[in-house]
Amino acid sequence: MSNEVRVMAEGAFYWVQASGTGNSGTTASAPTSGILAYVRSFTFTSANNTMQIMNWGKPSHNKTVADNPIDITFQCDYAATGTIPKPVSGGGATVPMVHLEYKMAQPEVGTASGIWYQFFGCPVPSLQFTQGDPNTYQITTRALAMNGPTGSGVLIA
Amino acid sequence: MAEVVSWPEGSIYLWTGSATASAVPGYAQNIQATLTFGWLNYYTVSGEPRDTLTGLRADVTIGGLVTFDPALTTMIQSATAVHMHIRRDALGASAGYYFYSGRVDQRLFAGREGELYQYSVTYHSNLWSAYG
Repeated sequence: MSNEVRVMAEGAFYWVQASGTGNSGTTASAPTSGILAYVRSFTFTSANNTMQIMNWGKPSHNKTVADNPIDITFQCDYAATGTIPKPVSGGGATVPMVHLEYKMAQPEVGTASGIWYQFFGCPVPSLQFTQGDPNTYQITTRALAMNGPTGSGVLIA
Repeated sequence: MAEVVSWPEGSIYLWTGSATASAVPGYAQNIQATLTFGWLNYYTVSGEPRDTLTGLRADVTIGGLVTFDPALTTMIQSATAVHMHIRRDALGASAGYYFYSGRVDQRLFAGREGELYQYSVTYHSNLWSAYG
């Protein structure tokens, strides 16, 4: 395989204020956005709730009974307020939300190549600040929907 | 043997009169339909068992979350006959029931601190057809 494995240094993370209910990447005109800097760690979990159906004691088939929310956590060193997502209540939604986009660059493929993940409709129910050397903050959020991996970005070229 | 049906593969539509527009109880969380067939079971004078259909009644309960979507509320407030279609779709096939000229018996609202507003609708009909 010609592609290299991806590492943290090839990552970039943007946020943008959401509009609408949040199931897609809808934003208002010229929304406020920013880049998450000094990211230490980032995780997300995408899962479906599937059940295995038994037929007289033998596994028969699987059924998806629900698409689970996408849980996202990232931890950053504290530098500037502009790097902290600022959710907003867009039209059609009462809960302030942002959309998030994560890119893993693929420089060995081409300068503009990469792998993108987009996370739609993310409130920020938990922002935990910790004083230390350096000061850090950890955000836990939960997206309504996601797109990825995909070969093009919206916020990050 | 066909697959079983999961909750996301189901849907319910309600409509009134001859209108083609229907209301979908959005954010539904549970349904229960009971189709009751009334039978008079008896023996003839010669001792042979017989069954005579005496009536049909379907009772449907829908539980969901309250929204400002007016279609369902308007339909219930009209206090006229309501038709209902319960269907399930999977693998390109569909099956379900049509309930005709039923009535909404109750609409229950419930709210509690720290939770979402919920409702339930109870409905009955005496005429239906099945397909699939």
